[in-house]
Amino acid sequence: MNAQPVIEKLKSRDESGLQDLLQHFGPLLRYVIKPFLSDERDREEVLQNVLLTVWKKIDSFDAEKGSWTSWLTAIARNAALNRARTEKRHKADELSEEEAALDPASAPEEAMLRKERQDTLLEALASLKKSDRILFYRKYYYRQPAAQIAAELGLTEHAVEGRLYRIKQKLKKILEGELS
Amino acid sequence: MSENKWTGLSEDDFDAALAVSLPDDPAEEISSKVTPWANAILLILLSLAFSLIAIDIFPFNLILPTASFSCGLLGWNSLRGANQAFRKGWILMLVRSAWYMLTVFMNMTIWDLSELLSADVQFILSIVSVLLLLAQLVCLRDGIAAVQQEAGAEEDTKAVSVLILEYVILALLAFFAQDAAGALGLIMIIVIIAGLISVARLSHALDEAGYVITPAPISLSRKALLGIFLGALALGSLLCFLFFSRYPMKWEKREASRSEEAAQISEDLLSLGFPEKVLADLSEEDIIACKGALSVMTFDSYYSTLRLDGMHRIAAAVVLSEKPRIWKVFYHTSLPDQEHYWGTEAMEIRPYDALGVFEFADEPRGYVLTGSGDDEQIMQISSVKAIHYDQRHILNGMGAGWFSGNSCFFSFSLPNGYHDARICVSLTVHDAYHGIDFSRGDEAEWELTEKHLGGTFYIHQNSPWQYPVKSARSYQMTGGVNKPFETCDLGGYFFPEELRSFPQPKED
Repeated sequence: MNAQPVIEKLKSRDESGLQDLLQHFGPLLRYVIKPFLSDERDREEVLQNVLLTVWKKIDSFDAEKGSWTSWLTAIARNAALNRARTEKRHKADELSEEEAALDPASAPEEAMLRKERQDTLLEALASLKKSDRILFYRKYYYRQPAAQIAAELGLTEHAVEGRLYRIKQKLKKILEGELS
Repeated sequence: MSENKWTGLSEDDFDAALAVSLPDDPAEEISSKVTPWANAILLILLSLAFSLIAIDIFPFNLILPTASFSCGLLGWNSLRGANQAFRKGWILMLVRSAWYMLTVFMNMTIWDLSELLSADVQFILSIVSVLLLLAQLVCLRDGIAAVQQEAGAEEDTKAVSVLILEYVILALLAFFAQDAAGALGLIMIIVIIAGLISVARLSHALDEAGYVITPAPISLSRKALLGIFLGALALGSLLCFLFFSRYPMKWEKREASRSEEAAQISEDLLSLGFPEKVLADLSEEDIIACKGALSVMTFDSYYSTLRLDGMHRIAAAVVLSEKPRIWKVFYHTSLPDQEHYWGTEAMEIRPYDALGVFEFADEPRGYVLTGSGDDEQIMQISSVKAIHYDQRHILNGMGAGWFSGNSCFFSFSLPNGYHDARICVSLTVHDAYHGIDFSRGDEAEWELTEKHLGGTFYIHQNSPWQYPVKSARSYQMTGGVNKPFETCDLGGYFFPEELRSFPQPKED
């Protein structure tokens, strides 16, 4: 599917572009959202939000800066992640390290901390093999469970967990040793 | 210098920090690789593409189909959990792979399916094999349609339907228009490759749109699946090759003593000019079969092939009766010592002409001897086959030609490192030169050459590297080239002696 006609329709504020978007890229959006939310209704709500976000932000999409798929999956992933955090917060007031770091109300120093960590993590990830990097993103970015990764990559769950553990240990060594 | 922000974290905190420290937008190399669709379809398409490349040269004729089945297994395995159609496709893939394995195993033996099975059965098996492939393509089409349907999208499987149609046409060409299929088949293969590219585009579109397949739970990783398939294929092939690429050989110590009757007949044969060297190797039974011999003709010469230098062949024909004229013919061939004898060897006797009305007067038989004195061993040649066959291209001393007629093959295997091997075969024939006027001397020889395509051939295997494994006899009958065999034309056996035995034409 060539995404260009859909993008053009959306940019020209043609509402039928949203239908096309759902028809042609709905499966991809649902695929990205699914691991974050177990409830079907939550997933559909997030999907609607994603469509709305795409409609609002379509002008910010620049094919020269990144691919349509990356842009679209990032919106879907972030929307699903935010929804999952909200759900979690409802269930437990206690903030985790992860939540604290991303909470908009967190102190500015937390945001700085996150930025610094992000830079060093990206450098460390660059030293991994591409297949390991993809595995890492599947787990930590797309939040796919080990069973799903295993099935999709044709590996056993045990093998996936083992590889992720080794990747994590390698990253830990790089990250801890980098400034020491 | 800033403090390391990654130190001092507990395991859980480190895990959480990893998750939140990734950028909001993933790199293209990541986002394009997270959906599982592309790999599976790509593997299936690769499998189909490999199956189209038919190079009948070892090792390509083994590597390409194996690569095709490996890709097919991996691809269908990934898709099998998505829907019923893909599941059926996976089952068909398993059936086809098992079939392929059996074919490879058979091809690693000297037993030829074309001889074991009738032509009708072979045709039915070929049809079933093609139908399985077509059924699998139908599963691919239905599976893609089901995925599209599940995602609420319009069904679009035209590319796969066209591909199925192309395969049907190619199969029909292969079965029913073999002679005309050359150029047309090539065109069809190009069309099919275009079809595969269309399906690849469809797959890419589905992948980009994120069509989701539900992978089946993994009990066997891809590596393990591939390992089992290739391992079983390699092990089975190796075992078949080791145990069935040679004829079973039952060597026995040769009994030197002869009965009084045999000793007397031996004396008579020697007095008629029977070669002593041959006589020394004849069995008691063969000697007694020559009782009452009227005359003996011999033809003694040396031959070489590229790798078998200095074969010594003695043909000795014993005339047992004149009306009707019955010959007992012995072909005694001494082989030079070789470090290795691979697979199979064969001796072919073509006793009569292309018009082929020849009948053996008794069962042809033969044996192989090695060593001498106390170390002398004998092995009866159990694979003796009188057969009528057509050979389109033979390569012998006379160049390429064709042969259609009766032959007798003596097939056997020789152990490595043997010493002083001799092959002794014999057959009894009626009136082999019926209609030839030997009083015409040299002209009779020309007449013989023109009328009779008879002769003797030694077929030697000079390398173990061949796939499918062929016996020396099978190689000779199918007239293969560039195979690990070479044929030595041992000439028209005792014709010259026969000619010399008859009066030359009178000079006017």
